[in-house]
This record gives sequence, structure tokens and C-alpha cells, in this order.
Amino acid sequence: MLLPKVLTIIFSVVALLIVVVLGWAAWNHRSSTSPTVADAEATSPIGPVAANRWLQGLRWLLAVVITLVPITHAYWVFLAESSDSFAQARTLDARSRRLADSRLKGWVIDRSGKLDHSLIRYRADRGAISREYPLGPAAVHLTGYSDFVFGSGGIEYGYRSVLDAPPTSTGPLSGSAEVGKDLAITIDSALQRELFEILQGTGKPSAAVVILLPENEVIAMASVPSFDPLVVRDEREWQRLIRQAELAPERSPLVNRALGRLVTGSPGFYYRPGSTFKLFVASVAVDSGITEERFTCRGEGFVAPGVSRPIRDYANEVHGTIGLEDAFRLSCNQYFAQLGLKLGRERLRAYTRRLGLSADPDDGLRTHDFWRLAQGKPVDFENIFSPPPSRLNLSTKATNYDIALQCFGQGYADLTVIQMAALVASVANKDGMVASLTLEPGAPKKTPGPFVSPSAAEKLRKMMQSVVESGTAAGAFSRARGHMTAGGKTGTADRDLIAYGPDDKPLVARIDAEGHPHYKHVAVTDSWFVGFAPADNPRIAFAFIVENGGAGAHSAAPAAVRLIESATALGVLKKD
Amino acid sequence: MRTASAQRTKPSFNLLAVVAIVTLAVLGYVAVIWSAEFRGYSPSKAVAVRDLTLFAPLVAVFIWLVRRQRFRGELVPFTAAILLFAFGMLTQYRLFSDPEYGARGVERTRAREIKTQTLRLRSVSAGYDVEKKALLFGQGGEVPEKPAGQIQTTERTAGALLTSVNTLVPIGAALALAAAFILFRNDRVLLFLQKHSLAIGLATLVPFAALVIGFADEGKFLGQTTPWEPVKVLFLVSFAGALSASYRRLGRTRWGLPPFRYVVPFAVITALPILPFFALSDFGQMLVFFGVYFTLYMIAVRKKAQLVYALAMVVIVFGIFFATSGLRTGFGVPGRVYQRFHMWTHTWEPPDPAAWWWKRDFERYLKAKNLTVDMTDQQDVAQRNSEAWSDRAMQLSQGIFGVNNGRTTGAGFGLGFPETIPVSDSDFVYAAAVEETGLIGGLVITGAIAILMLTGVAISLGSADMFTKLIAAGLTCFFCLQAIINIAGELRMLPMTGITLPFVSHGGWSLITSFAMLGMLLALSHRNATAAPRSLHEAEMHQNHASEAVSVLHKDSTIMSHFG
Repeated sequence: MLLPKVLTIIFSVVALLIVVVLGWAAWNHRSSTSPTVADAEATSPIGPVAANRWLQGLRWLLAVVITLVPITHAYWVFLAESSDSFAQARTLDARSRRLADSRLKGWVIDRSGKLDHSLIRYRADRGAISREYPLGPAAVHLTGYSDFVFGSGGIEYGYRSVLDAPPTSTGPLSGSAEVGKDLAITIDSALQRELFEILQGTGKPSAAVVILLPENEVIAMASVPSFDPLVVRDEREWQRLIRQAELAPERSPLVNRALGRLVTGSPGFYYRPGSTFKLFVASVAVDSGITEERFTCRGEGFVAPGVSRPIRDYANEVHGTIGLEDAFRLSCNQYFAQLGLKLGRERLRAYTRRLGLSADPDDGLRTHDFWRLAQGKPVDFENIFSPPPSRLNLSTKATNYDIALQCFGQGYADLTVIQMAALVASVANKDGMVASLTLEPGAPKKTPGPFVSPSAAEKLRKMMQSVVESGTAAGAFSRARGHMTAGGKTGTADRDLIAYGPDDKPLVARIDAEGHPHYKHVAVTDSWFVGFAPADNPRIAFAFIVENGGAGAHSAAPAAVRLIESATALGVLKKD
Repeated sequence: MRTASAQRTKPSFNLLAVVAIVTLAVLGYVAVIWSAEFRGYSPSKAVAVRDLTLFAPLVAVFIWLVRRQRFRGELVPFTAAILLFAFGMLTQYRLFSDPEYGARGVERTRAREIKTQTLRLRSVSAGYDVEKKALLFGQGGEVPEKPAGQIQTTERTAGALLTSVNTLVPIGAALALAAAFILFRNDRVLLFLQKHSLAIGLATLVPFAALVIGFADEGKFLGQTTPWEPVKVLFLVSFAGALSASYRRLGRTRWGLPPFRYVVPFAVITALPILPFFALSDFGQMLVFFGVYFTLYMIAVRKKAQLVYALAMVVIVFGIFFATSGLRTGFGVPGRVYQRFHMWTHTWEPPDPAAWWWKRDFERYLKAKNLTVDMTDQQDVAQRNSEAWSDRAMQLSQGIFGVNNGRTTGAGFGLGFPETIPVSDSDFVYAAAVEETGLIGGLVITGAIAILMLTGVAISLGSADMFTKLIAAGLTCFFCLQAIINIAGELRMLPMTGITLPFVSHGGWSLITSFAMLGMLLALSHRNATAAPRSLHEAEMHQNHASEAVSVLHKDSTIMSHFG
């Protein structure tokens, strides 16, 4: 306890003693003997002396009222807190901000454990201590931001129960330090920075997740466009960002495109995975032993039974009659449409369950335990870090056409980048177990179960390696050939997006007879690449998306090449 | 029949208490300076010395009373007032030494930032390991005690300190006490005042009304001073004089009602101070006057039926008030009054944004903050309305949170956050004081008020004639009602009125007036004890006899006959 506080207690206690003594004296002399007035008039029934009875009444009245003061005071001190309106109003107390501002939150330290590699730390500038985000926009979708008025997001919010200093009973003015606990996460800050630069280099909205194998730890996760975590201090700019995130989330830098959530926490955003999803169908086929099927890819396209619309290939390519390996290498839509129908709805459903995907729009799957956690789940962690559950429609309502489309990642297939990364990791891990990802080093090892058999996983890796060596991604990887090996799968996905004007309001194409607006749409082609490296002994698995980046081999695969180069240079691929 | 001398506390006892109080004040100042260093600013020590020196004139008056004036009355109210004064001065010093308090805009933000940074540095030096400290302040770097860029505290020159208002007001207060004592111990003066009470009332009203009409802005005059505080004394004397002259006639009631022809002139005298205060929108002061006048009337006239009538009227007024709060006009009652009532009953629930007494202030708030609100968007309007109301109710809420924050023993001088309560040096001084001294500090203040009440009533009981009896009772009522209305407003027992806490708030004229009123009370106490019990009536006879003159105005005088 501080000395001024002791002095204050001495002051008030002694002052109270003085008051008691004076009060005792005043009480003893409360009625100076009534004036013995000889004047008959003064003592008459209506004279001044008779007024004394009412004066005494006044004394009692005032005494009662004065007593009410400390009683009410005590109410505010001891009982008010139990009232809801008081507790709610208390959140606006200017004191809370003073106290919160003077506490120090915990640091967030990357996988190296070195303090100077922190993702969130404090810095001292001429004796002024301020919270700093050394990676800035490169990691803001992980670190989030923090402000007393506008709240916090990302780790700052999701892990606040760890980072926030526990308020001591006496407050920071008592001299005891109020310092929050540090948090270690699996991110590699150097790789994170490189990954962000690679994505920025694409010049398009893009996202990527990198997973370290076999630990299944996320070592980098980036999203472009991004923003500076300190922008929250600029009220006007921050409110513009928040407004944009509400009106036109597709363009907002607040969206963590890798996770499919706003960094502030919110409902999810999905992508069509395109041909990268063929990896899933191929996994089902290989694991089920259906690898010898041959299907024909024609110019007029494949027409599924009971449907009239044909399924064609990207750029109307024709592959002829081919087997699984070639179809995967060349990414043949017609082959996978036919393979999917051959595998059948039920078998596909069984494998979606293994991965934790929803196969039925009606099953109401909202959240699932996506992450492996070291300790208990922090409050609001899900809201910030759980990706929206990826979903397909393999229900009985889905037609053959719907199923065929989803087998090459179109139609109802709604997935997230991180889910695709988890799918690749499940295949890239030698045991073929479903990869359960984590952000926390030292999270206990546990797997939700097998995805494919180890031998099937090996065969799938070989197929992915051939994509890089002689398939759709061969061009992108040509410059790296010889000094790196990898496996992967390209993807090219078509989406229709609402078009927005410069004011973030949707553009109206026309207004129909009933006055409903019809919005303008633009067709975008997302570029995907998922894969792992090195080929024979995978150390990382990753998933890339470049929005409207054209074919997978055009934007996403080159970005993946640069990632592997960076990871090699940083020594991430070395076995330790 | 000298009885009263045995009935008083010894001067030595009171002097001992005053010495103890001054010692406590020194302790408090040390605590404030100590805490300030801890929080990152340095209060002016010259001001501390000046403040403590200001007890000297009060102690001098104390000794002058006992030695030179051979004071025979009760000194306890003086001691209690010095205790309140010391507490108040300490709280003022605490607030004004804080660079954040009273500063505005950038200065305020900067002061707050430096205080925050000082605490952060303290946490770093106590809670961080060597590695982190090295990362922040370089290898082997020492954690500084304070951030760079101190808040400038310019020690003022001795001359500036001596001529500052804060020096002159307490000296003026001590002088006012002495002057009031000399005046009111004198029978001639009392007689003169009683005889000319009506003239005094009118003579006070004229310049007062001129001031009010000419210069007042929302109850404040020329920047936060209220030069009409002293008129309270004159109005009280005038009312007491009129009442002591006519109470016998007013007491001849039928159906509990006094004779009409005496009521009208009396009502005029009653209304004298109330109208200007109404014009000033100083409803706290109005409430105090109503309370004091009504109490004095009841003491003099003593009709239970009238007490019942009056209470019924209060109930009816409140009833009408609440019934009309939903209407579109206040029939002349300013919107501010309705706002204060709403703040009292629904502190943390914003009123309807369209209510007539709130709409304009809501729009003003939006304009001041440069906000635009889409009036058709209910949610947006509700959000902004709630913000505007929080802003309006901030003083009350911050005060209450401060009371809550103080707990039992308080945060400690300089260690709470009374700087977050707007105007906590005068209207909200109780909240500021108890945040740092807790419920115990609150008991000290209310206890001192109770002591003033007990001794004041005792002095009134001891007065032999109606005039001095009423003045003593009136002064006591002024102290108590003002204190209760002030504290009750802060504790949400009553609507907030913006009235000062006697002796504790240092509002310039308010402090001088309070000490002058204390001087009157002491004079009456002295008179009771020494004047070889005689009423003013006797004194008058005595005086007349001595001067061989025959007074036409005697006994209950006949002011009312001028009207009648």
C-alpha cells in the first residue's frame, strides 16, 4: 500500500474522531438553558419561548435528513453494483479507460520464441510506452488491432482473456504492476512477412495459408488487401473501413480472406475451390481403390444422366479418353464429373464427414472445432478464428448435374482457403490422417481420424507431384526445376460478384416493374493453387487464392513457387 | 442569571481541535504532493504553503474572538466550519494541482497521456524481466521514472500568489466573519435591522435585480462568480424582521388560514428573493429560500394545519410536474428543470429525442460534435441520442462512480480520478472529496454539517426574542439545506441543482458569505450568553430609557400596519 493512502486514512479517521468529539460537545449543549426571560410577553403561549418546541422538531427533522446522506452514500458504495443499469452505465466511466490505458497487455511472440520476433509488443519512445505491431499490415489479420473505444479484433480480441492484465484489487495506482501474460503462437514472423509480400506482388486481392508438417501448425496466414493495425486510432478512417465492411465486404481489407471471416469477427465468406477440389474427389477414388476407371473427354462436353446441360472443360480443351493420373495432371473437368458420379453421393458424403465438411445445406452445421488448442478455448475465440464451416450439397435434393459440378469445385461447393490447406495437409502427411490445425505451439496432438490410407496418400502425392512436373503447373514451376521439388494442384474457379461503385454501394443494372433493384454482376475467375513441398518428405502444405487472377497456373502457382523459395531460404523446409 | 457560560465548550478545547485540524491539513497536503509525484506531475509547493498559511487569519480571528471580544458563546460551529474549510481547501488543491483538471483540448490529452505513461513505466520496471527491459530501453538500460517531456509547472511568483483570488477570498472570509460578529453582537444594529426590515429587503432587491438583468448568464456572473451570494443574508434579516413583527397576527387563523389582509404583504416580502433567483434559473438557491422561509414561518406561526397544507401543495406541484413532463410545453418552466428531473429519475436512460425540453439540446450536441443524423433511421437516432444524454449526464454519473470508487477508506489523496468529474471543485466537491477519502470522509463532512445544525438550533433555542431566534434558525437552515441539497444532488437523492457546499466549495463569494453567516451565528450565541438575558424588546426599552426617547415602533413593531 502506498504511503499517501496511509496518510489519507489517518487524515479521515482522525478527522472523524474530531467530528465525534465536537459532536459530543454539541450534543451535550444542544439546549442552552432556555432564556429566563422576565418578560411576560416572551413566555406567553404565542411568544418566542413557545417557538422552541417547533425548533426542537426542526432539529429532529434535519437530523433525520442529514442521516439519510451517509445512508445513500453507503448504498452507492456497497449496493449499487448489484443493479444492472448501474453496472451497464459504469462501462462508460472515464475511469475505466484511465485504468485500462495504464495496464500493459501481454506480448504475442512467434514460433522462434525470441522477443524481437514478436507479432505484438511494446516499444519505448523517449520513455513513452506504446503497443506496437512490428509486422503491421502483413499480420494484421492475425494480430488484429486494439482500441479502447472501437474495441479490438484478431488475437487482440480472441485471446484477450490471456493478454489482458488481470486487474488487481487495488488498481495500478497502488504500485503493483499490472502486466498481462504473453502468448506464443506458431506463426513464423519472417515467413509471414515474405508471404504477405508475395501476395502483394500479385496485385490482386489474395490469401494464403502455410502449414508446417507433420505438426500441422499454421506458420503463416496472410490476406491482401490489408490495413495498418494502428489505423483504428484514426476515427474517420476507421469508420470508413467499418462502413465499407458492412456495405461491400468483398472489397474490405478487414476481411481475412484466408479464414473467410472479418478480423472484427462476423459471419463468413466463401470461395469456390475450382479444380483444386479434384484433390478431394481423387482422394476418395484412390482410397476406395477406384483408380483404373477411364472416361472420355469430348468437345461437345459430358452430359450427366437426366440433365440437358453439358459439362465442358476450361477453354474447351479436349483430353480424349484418359485415366485418373492423366485426368488429375491435366485437370480434366469431364473426367472428374464422371468419376464423381461413379463414386456416388454416399461415398462422397462419407469422406466429407471425415474432413468435417457439411454435405447438406439442411444439417445446420454452423461451427465446428476446427482448431487444436493448447488450453481451454478463450472467450470469443470461435467468433474470430473459426473459419465458417465449408459446405457442399450432396443431399438427395442435389441433381446429378449439381454433384458433377461440385466434383470439380464449381456449383454448390463453398470452401475456405484454410480448409483447402487442411485438405492438402491431410494428404501430404504420411499417415493420411485428417490434419487438425493449430495456432498454439504445444497443443496436444490429436487427430479427428484417418482421411485416406497411408498408401493412398502416397499415391495422391505422386499424382500432385506430376501436376508440378508435367501437368498444369509445369510452366509455373519450370524456373524452379532442379533446385526444389513439390506437389500441387491448380484451380480455376468462376464466380459472379456484385459490382460496386467507388462509393462502395452496389451498382444497379435495372429496376424491374415492381421496383426491385437488380444489381450488376461481374464474372471473376479466381486463381488457386494448393500443394506441399518438398515432394518426397513434405515439410509444408499450403493453399493460395488470387481473386480474379485467371487460371491457377497463371497467378496462384507462381506465388506458391515464390513461397517455396522463401521457405527454403529461411530454412523452414529443413528437418530438425 | 448567567447560565449560558457554563453551557459552552471551553475555548482551549476548540483551539486544540483547530490545531489538530491544521495538522491534518498538513498531512493531507503531503499526501497530495506525494501521490502527484507517483502519478507523474509535480504540484506547486508554493501554493501548498500559501494554502496552509491561510489558516492563520482564521486562527487569528479565533483568538481575537476569545481574547479581545471576550467571546462567551459556543465556539464549536466555528471549529466545525474550519474542519469543512480545511477539507475543501485540500480537495481544491488536489484538483487544481492536477494538470489534467481544468485543462482543455490538446493540453488535457497531453497531461492525461503523461500520467498514463508514468504508470506504464512503473509497470514495466516492476513487472518486466531483464530481457524485455533491455529490448525496450537498450542493453542495461534503466527504466526512466517518468516519460520525457514533463508537464510544465510554473511556480508562480510570491507577488502573483499573494494577489491571487484564492489568497484574497479566504482572507476576506475571515474578515467578513469578524465584521459580521461585531455588527450582530450590537443591539443597536439588531434593532435598526428589525425596524427597517422591509426597506432592507427592497433596497437589496433593486441592485440585485439590476445585476441579474444586466449581467447574468445561466446563473453565473462574469465568469463563474456569483456576486449576489451576500444578498442571502440581507433577505434573511428582512424576512426575519417582517415575520417577527407580524407572526402574532398571522397566527390568528381560521380554518388554518391566516387573515387575508396580512397574508398579501407578507407574501410580497417572501417573493422578493425568489423572483430574481427564478430569473437566474438558480433553482437550487430558490429551493433553499423556499425551505428556509417556510421553516421560519412554521417556527413563528406554528399551525399544524398549515404544515399539512404546505406538504399537500408540494405533493401537488410535484404531481403536476410529472404529469406535464410528457406535454409539448412547460408553461414557463425552463426545459432545464425538466432535464434535471429526468436526470434524477432516469440517470442512465436517455429521454425521447423529440421531447421539447431535450430536442434543442440534442441538436446542439450534434452540431457541436459535427455529427449528422438521419432522422428517419430510428437506430441511428437512438444511438446518437444516447450519446448526447450520456454527455449531459456525465457530471452526475462520473460523480456517482467516484463515490462508488471511493469505497470505505477512499482511493487516497491524489490517487483517485476526481479529475474526470467536470466542475468537481464547486458543485461536485463532495464527490471529489469522498472518491479519495471514502465513506469515512463523507461521514466527516456530514458530521460537521450535523454539528453546525445542532449548535445552530441550540443558539436559536437560547435566543430570548423572536427576531434573533428566527435569524439563528434561518442561518442554520441555510447551512443545512444548502449542504443537503448539494450532497443530495450528487448522490441522486434529489435533482441536481448546482448549488455550493458551504465552507467546502470555494466559490469566492459563496465562501465569504458562509463565513459572514457564521459570524452572525457566533454573535447571536455570544449575545445569548452575555446579554444578561434580555430580549430585543427589553433592549429597546433599555435603550429608549437611556436615551430618554420614546420609540413609536416597539414591541412587535408595526410594519404590517403600513400595508394594512
